[in-house]
Amino acid sequence: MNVAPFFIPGINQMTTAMGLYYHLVPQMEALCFGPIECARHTFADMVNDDKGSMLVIDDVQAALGETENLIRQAVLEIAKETDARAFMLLSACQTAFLGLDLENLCASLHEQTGLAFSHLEVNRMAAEHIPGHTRKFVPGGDRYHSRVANFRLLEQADQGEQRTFEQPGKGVILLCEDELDPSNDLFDLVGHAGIEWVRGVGDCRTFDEFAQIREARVSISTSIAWREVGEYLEKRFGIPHLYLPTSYVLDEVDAYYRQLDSALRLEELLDADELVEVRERRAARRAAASEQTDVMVDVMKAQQVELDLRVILRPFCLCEELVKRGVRLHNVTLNPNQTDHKEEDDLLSYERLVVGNPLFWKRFQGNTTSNKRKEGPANPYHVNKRRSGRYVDISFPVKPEHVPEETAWWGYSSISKLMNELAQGRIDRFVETHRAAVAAADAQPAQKGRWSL
Amino acid sequence: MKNLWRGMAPFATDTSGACTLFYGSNALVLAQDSNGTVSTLRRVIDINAGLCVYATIDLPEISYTLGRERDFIDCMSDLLAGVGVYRLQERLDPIEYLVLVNGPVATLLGMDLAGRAQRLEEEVGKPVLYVDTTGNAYYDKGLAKGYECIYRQVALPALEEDPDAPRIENGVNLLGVNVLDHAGAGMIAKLRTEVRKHDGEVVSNWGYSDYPEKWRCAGRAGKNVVCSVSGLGVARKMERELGIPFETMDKLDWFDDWAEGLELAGSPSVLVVGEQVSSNLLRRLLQRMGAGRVDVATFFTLDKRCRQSGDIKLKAQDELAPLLGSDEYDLVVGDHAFKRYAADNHMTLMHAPVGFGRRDTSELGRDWLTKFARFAAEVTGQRPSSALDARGHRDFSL
Repeated sequence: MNVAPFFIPGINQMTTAMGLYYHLVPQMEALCFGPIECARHTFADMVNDDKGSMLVIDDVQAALGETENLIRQAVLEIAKETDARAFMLLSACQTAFLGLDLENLCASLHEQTGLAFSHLEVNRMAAEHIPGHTRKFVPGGDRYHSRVANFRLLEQADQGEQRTFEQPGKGVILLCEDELDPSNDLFDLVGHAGIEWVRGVGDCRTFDEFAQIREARVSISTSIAWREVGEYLEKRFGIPHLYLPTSYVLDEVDAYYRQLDSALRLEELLDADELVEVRERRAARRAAASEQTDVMVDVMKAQQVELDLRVILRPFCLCEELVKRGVRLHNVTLNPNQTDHKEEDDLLSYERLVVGNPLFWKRFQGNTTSNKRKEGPANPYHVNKRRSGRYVDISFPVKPEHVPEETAWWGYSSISKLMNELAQGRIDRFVETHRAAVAAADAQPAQKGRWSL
Repeated sequence: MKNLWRGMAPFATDTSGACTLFYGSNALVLAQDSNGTVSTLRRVIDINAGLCVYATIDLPEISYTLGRERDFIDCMSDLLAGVGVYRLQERLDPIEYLVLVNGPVATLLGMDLAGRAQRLEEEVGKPVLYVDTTGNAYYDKGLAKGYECIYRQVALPALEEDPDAPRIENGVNLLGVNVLDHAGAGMIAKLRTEVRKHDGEVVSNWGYSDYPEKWRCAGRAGKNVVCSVSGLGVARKMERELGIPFETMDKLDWFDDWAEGLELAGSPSVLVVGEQVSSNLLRRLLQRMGAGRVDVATFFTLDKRCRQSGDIKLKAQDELAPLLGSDEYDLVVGDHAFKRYAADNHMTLMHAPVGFGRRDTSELGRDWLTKFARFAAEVTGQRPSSALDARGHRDFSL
């Protein structure tokens, strides 16, 4: 009685196979077209998701060149029934293979309907997806250009107000999936130096708000996955971009602020009193973050700590900071992508940790291998990889649900937020659950091979 | 618009269907396509739970376009070697044979799969089967092609090799049992029990849990029992060519004890949306329990000889909403994904009785039917209703 074998409960339905967050752009419809196999690859988990559609084009239709007409019909039908302001066209391997001119199709559809169109080539056979071909072949590598695809919609959106040197833009856009926490440092800037809004991409509620990103004075990317979007916005729309990854180090955040002040021309545009006010508020935030960190570090110093850092974007950076402050890290659990691929903004910390303590590498590798074995049957990626010897997963990390990530964290408030998370036991739940075991182990005489960083 | 699926994905493809057929044997299934094929498959079944290993040929577009056959053969040989080493390390049985399946790109290019299989067989020295799937049809078509492949490439040659081998008169083939249509172990266990009860023995279940050595004996069985519509084609072929009779499982009285003593109050009319043979079996059981009209609708193959008047072949998603919204049925048995249409039309929808690959392991059985009877009583007002779910209709699943 199997009528629809296509769904695993609990898989994040917000992304396509290529990691495109199609729910990120409000009033946008994602239309995937191609054979069933390819279309299902893109949207295999889609159930009851009104933002996504699949147009099945079989090999005969594809060979006869009917694809473009069918897409046009589908777009018109969806546009008639919804309040869509934008469309994302997702090609599959087979249709990409036919060499369709999707740029031209998007332009033509824009002319015909007045809506914004963008496209993403979901082609697993493109050279960049084959091992060893480009830097983009890293776990989750598709995330780079799939995010940019969303922002290409801005090219067809209304122009908005032009930015000039005298009117350098009204807002600050933080490139992240989630809504900004009201406690974010950046909100302190609103009302100063002509800045009217600060928002994350996840804060956009309508397509018009999304289109307003063109009027931003500066864009900030907080993770490497978003950096390419920032670079694109800078290149295409002249919005200065700062790559300031989420940090837990106070000195690093100080440096971020120096870069941000310069990009926003704060010293130039603010009068002396306002500048003092802004800086005082910033100093207060710094002091609060520092104090919270000290308290948490004192708590953690009292015992050996095991951290589950699977949702942390720069885990080694965090480990390094904690170790510097005297925390005895006993064990670290990372997500598989971080294990296999260290992002460049985290790589230096990793290398310093390894140089500082050669045992770290050994233990870290051993730890992750045992994790893989433990998760074996439930985690198809690694078992499959080990079985075939050539299979490398490059889809976006699968999560049980959309976990708000640190990409929305920035500044001193990111440190405070992390400390809050630790205090609430989200990240240190491992510590909680294993406290008794750790205490018992500590009571034993030192064993051979036992280590801490 | 036909072929436009809004808000839900179309069903698993023939490539996935064919891949699942070799789930229970020491096979290396190689999809001649990008790695999307395995990625899609692992959303349908737990690919690590079976003995079989699935892999795709990760070659760049240029190799496909220029038809660099050598690249493919080398890539597949490397994969086989890699898998061999892994299985040796893990003390698993070695790979016995390879299976090649096609994906959409290979189909568009008109790949000669038979030729490639032959070359690969010469290269690696292991049997290589091939299933010419397209990625453009649903999983039942892939399963049917898979059964055809086993019949043509294993069962028939074995008979030709040993024409004097005696027929196993009490031997029964269970054709069409697969992990997609029969996710739980209950159905296969029941079938095996009933075969033994009728003094028979199961010769082969065609891929569900057996291996090539058993397929080689399949042509000598005395009877075929067809458990899903995908097995019908090969069953008819075996009847025609080898004289082995077949029966579909819904025609047998083997499952009637599940419905014994259960009653559907008020004779509700029921629509079952699902695979045809399993749906027919459910129809038989529901009618024994006192259901009124029971119709079957399917997106998959609707065999003319197995259909009854009122049965419906669904071709597109937009045919589903009017059907589920129709006043003709008191109850609908269908997939979770169809709930949206039922909710819109204030109808009661029940989860399908048999599992959906990895998503649901509930299966047709005595327990399921007991719950169904209780649920039907609520719907027809013979019993007070249980709580409604957030979307305003009663949820039911085992």
